[in-house]
Amino acid sequence: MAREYRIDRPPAVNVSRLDEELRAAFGGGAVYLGMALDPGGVRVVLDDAATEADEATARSVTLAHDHTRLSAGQAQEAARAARVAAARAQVNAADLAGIVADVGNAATIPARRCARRSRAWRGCWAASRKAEGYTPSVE
Amino acid sequence: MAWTAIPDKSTGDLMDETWYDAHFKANMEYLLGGRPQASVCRTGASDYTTTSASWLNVDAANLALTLAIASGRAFVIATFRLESDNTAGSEAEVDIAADGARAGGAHGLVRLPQNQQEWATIMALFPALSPGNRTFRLQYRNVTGGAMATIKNDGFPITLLGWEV
Repeated sequence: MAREYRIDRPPAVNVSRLDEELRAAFGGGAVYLGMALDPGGVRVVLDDAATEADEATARSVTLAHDHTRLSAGQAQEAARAARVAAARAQVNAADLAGIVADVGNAATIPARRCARRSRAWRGCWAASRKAEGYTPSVE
Repeated sequence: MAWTAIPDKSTGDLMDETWYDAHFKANMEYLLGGRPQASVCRTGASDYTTTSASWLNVDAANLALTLAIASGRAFVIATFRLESDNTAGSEAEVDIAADGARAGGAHGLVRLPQNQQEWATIMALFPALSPGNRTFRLQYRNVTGGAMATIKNDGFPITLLGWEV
């Protein structure tokens, strides 16, 4: 069974962070069961076996809560978002226009392709001749 | 208007106007349009969120219906938008309770997996209530303590309605 304690505090609450703080304060034991945030404020849910000291702990942690601080999960997510933003900035800073211009150069690309195919063909031919016992000619 | 229990009659008992008015007319009026029913439709400025793995009332004061039950049965429906957060193992669950006794099983009447948000409609028949005033409330939890279950109410309506059957 559980008991709820309503604790009056300013309405700005970071639920994830406050839950983390309460779990830490109760040492992850069986006394603290969770919390709820509704238009009436914060409700802390404690096991029936909770003592007055437990209630006082819940109250002091809830009143000391700073909603601007992030929970571990939120901090992780913020760090990931920062990495994505940095990578995006790096891509934006690169000379993509120059690369696109190179790719779009119809005069040079077919020539490069032919050269690559030619080299590949010569390699295959030499390998097959060698496999058949011939000494590959040098071109 | 209330239901009046009808006594057994014996041969020769008089069924006069008083009896007729109390046991026939009044009860027929009760059955036609006097059975208890109530509804709540609430749209607030903030949501309801819990990290509790134990069931608790969403809002004991504002999301509650009280019916004066005579038959011993009631039917209750609730609609709302439910969200479970992205914490590993997060599963949001909602149920309807009559005087604290939930209608659903271990996992309530609806269960929403991790990182989802859906409109939900749940309903429950309470077939064996004691006659008298019975209060029905919405309850919720997240099966994983620390993960969040949210019933949206910031611009989203929550509806709860019930009636005697």
